[in-house]
Amino acid sequence: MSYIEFKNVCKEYKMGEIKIKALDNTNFSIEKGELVVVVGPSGAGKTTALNILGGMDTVTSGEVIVDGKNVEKLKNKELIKYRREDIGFVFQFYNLVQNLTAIENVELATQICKDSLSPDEVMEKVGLKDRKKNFPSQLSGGEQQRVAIARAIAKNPKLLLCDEPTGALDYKTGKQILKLLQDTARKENMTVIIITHNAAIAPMADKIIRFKNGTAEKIEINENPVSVETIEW
Amino acid sequence: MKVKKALLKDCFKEIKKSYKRFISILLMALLGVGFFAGLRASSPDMVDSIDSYYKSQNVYDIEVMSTLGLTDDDIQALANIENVENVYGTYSKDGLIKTAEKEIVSKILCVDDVNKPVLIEGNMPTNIGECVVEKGFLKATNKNIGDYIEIEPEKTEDEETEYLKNKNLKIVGIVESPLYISRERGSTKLGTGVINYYIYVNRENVNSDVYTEIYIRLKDSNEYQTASTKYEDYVEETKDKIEAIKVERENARYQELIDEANAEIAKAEDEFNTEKQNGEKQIQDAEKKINDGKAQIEKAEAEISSNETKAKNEFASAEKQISDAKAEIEKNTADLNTKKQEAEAGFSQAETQKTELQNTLNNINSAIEMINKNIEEKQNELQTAETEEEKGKINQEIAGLQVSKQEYETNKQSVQAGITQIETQVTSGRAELQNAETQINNAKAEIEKQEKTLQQTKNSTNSQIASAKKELESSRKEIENAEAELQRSREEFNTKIQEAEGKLIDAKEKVSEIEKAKWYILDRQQNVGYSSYIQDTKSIENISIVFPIVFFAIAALVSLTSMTRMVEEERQEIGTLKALGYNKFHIMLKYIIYSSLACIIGGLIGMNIGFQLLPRIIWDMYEMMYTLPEFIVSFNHQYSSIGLGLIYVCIVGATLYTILKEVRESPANLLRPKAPKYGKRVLLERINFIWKRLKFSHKVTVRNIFRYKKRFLMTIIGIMGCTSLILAGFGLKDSISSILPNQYEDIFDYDMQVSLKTSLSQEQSDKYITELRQKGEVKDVLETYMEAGTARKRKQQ
Ligand SMILES: Nc1ncnc2c1ncn2[C@@H]1O[C@H](COP(=O)(O)OP(=O)(O)OP(=O)(O)O)[C@@H](O)[C@H]1O
Ligand SMILES: [Mg+2]
Repeated sequence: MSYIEFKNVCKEYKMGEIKIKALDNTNFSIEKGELVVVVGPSGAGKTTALNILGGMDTVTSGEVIVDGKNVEKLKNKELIKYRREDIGFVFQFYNLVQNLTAIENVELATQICKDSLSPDEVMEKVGLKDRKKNFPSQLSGGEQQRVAIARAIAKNPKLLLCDEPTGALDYKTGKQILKLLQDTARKENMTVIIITHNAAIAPMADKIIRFKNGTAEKIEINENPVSVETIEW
Repeated sequence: MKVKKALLKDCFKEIKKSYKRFISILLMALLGVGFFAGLRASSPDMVDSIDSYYKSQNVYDIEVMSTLGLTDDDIQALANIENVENVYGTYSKDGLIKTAEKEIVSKILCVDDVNKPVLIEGNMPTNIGECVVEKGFLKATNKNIGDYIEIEPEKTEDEETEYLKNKNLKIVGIVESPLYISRERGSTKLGTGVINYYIYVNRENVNSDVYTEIYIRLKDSNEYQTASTKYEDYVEETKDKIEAIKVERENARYQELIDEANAEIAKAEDEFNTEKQNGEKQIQDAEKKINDGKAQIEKAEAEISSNETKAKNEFASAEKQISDAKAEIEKNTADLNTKKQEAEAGFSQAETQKTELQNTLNNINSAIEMINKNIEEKQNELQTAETEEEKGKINQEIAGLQVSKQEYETNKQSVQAGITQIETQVTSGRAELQNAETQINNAKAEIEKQEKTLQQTKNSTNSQIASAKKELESSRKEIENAEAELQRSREEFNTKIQEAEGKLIDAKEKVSEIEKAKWYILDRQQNVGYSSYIQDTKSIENISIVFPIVFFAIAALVSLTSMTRMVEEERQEIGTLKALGYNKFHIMLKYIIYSSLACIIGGLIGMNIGFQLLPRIIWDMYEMMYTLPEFIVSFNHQYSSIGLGLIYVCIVGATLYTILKEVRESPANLLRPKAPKYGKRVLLERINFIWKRLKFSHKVTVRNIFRYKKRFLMTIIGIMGCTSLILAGFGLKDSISSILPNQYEDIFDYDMQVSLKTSLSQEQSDKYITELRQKGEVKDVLETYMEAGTARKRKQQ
């Protein structure tokens, strides 16, 4: 049994009388410590799948197993605990709390976790040692995303989920971010799932899941993942 | 649950960042709590103020009045009642004060330990010549402290004793009476029928044997707040106890009065009777005296007249005697005269006789001498004759001669005797005449003397009689006077007696008319000023319930909208937090803290402002109507906590309502910008010709109305609330400001009111009214009749 298993997952959204099938019988599995890149066209259901995996959305049917836990069956409290302790999420638009400084945003995450890392160390790790006291509005997009990543990894999660972390960033900064994520996955042996539109970065992943029309149409296993630095696009 | 530091930081940062929103919520809380607490506290503050005023002035709890006055026995009886602490008997009466321009009716109260007036200026009256007045009184009479006023109290029951010992009073101070906190002073039988002011006099100045009022203070009544249910129950309970002795006391007083009156009547009757008797006896005595006098006069009269007649008779007889005597004298005189004449004739006869006799005598003498010579010659012859014859013849011749001589001698003698006789006869006749004349003269003199004496006697008698008569007359006059006097005093006596009798009858009637005493057991609620004050506090209380509701509603709405907006703005953040693993409570905490802080800070400021400001504003308005020395504002914990609680529920409730809806959503949903509600076709779209003509922005607006029904409703309710508040304000202003024109333009048409004295006669008043009518400025005059009356609630059986 894999570390993460998506079994026949369906997700429907009701919009008045219309039903939108965001996920239609999706199946995939991910092993522990893998760096997975999810690609696919817009509206294919990538974000939906990631949200379900992160315990931020519910399934209509099917099973989601993470580290032996049936996430779709978790009660509210357990779900919170799951989100708090097992999941680190990096959003496309960083979603930092504007009222808090960079370090405080990190602390926001660590304060509720048991095995959290030291925010200062994590900040150093993401290279923002000197910008700790800055508010998000005082940071560039890449810096903000780095804070967001710091916030996610400071929780020391089992699963690091990133929804288009580089979508709003320029090439160089995007590369830095991806490098950070790859390094983190390698060093911490963290399972990392990255959604991207940029198929070019697929070689850095251990596994590539291609979404189309609500299903994981194709799952490729990359035997020789390369470092991000070597990838040009 | 441990509150996370970062979350708190976020919360405070949020406040700093969105301070406008925070302040708007805070202001709503401030307004809501301020209004609620302030308005709610206004009524208790007003009650508090009057409560502490009444407590400090020792104002009565229960007042007892009686139609027949109250006595010390009543006080004793009341003092024995349970719960009764102090019983004060006091006096009050209405009085007229006349100043140059007007007549003022004033309530005359006396300074006591109960219902103590508050001294505003000057001193309290320390003697019977002093008084204190209210401020308005000075203004109305244009007097100052130190001036004097003349007061004429209402007549006492018996209309004799003066209610005040001293009616010329010096104003020594200005006071405020707890009994008259409003402008209302009650009605009176005097003047215009309305009491204008009150004045306080020294208790010593009052001259009354009964108390007009008894005021009662209850034990521990200061522990209760006036007008509170507990207080009123306590008073009511005691009133019931007083009610229980009421009938007994009423009867006692009635009996006392009846007895008193009866005793007085009996005394008066006695007095009347003795007086009557005395009077009658006096009259009788006087009558008797007059009668005696009359009899005496009559007797005297008779005496006088008898004396008079007697005197007259006497005088008459005396006069007759005198006249008789006079006549006799006259006769005698006449006799004498005839006699005289006769005598004179006799005398002349005698004279002639005498002369004859003389002649005879002379002849005799000559004859004798011749004889003698013849004898001598014969003797001589004898001598010579020597014869005896011759001698014898001569002796014879001599003897013859002797005899002739003898004869002659005898003749002579007889003639002489005749002469002498005649002479003596004449002399004696003359003497006799003389005698008679002297006699007559004597008699005349005597008679004259007698006449004189008679005259004198007559005079004296007459004068005596006259004086007696005069005396009699005067005594008769006296008697007449006395009789007139008597008549008068009799009449007087009669009228007096009649009067006295009438009075007695009246008095007796009055006794029968003495109505049973009726006690009125009153409490503070019957005090006009107090009760309207308390009523006003009640109406404020009612308003204080309605108004804050609007404010709370608005506060709730405002906080609902601003919190909804805030939560919507922070959807992403909420989603992020949720995604980070924060639970609902943690997430909500920020908003709860946020709104709670706004609410509590606003509420605290609001209640502090409200408690100070609103009661004072309201009191400012009521101060025009009520006179209280001090308005007390206090911090009312009850209302402050209720107000704060309510606003907390409103604001934090609204916050919870919005935030709860959000946090229930899945983080995935939250992180997606909120799907706007899908628009629906509205009915208007089907009416093509209108819809076609609408601009795009208008179409959006129309759709949005139906799309965001909550927002639409909230806008409506918000506007409704604000409009109703504003409208209520204008409405209040409008209805209050229309009271005056309504009252004084529509209901009271008059510009001036003239009260006529009841003593004016119909003619006088008619004349006055016509004069008024003729005045150029006067448009119309309406004559009316006014009378003060008392209406009492019929007791329910
Ligand atoms: N909350 C929602 N309500 C209704 N439909 C939804 C909702 N979330 C997602 N969908 C629909 O589900 C489908 C899958 O969406 P999803 O966001 O997973 O796509 P995606 O693969 O992430 O696309 P993109 O690359 O553009 O992010 C889409 O058609 C979308 O319209
Ligand atoms: Mg997506």
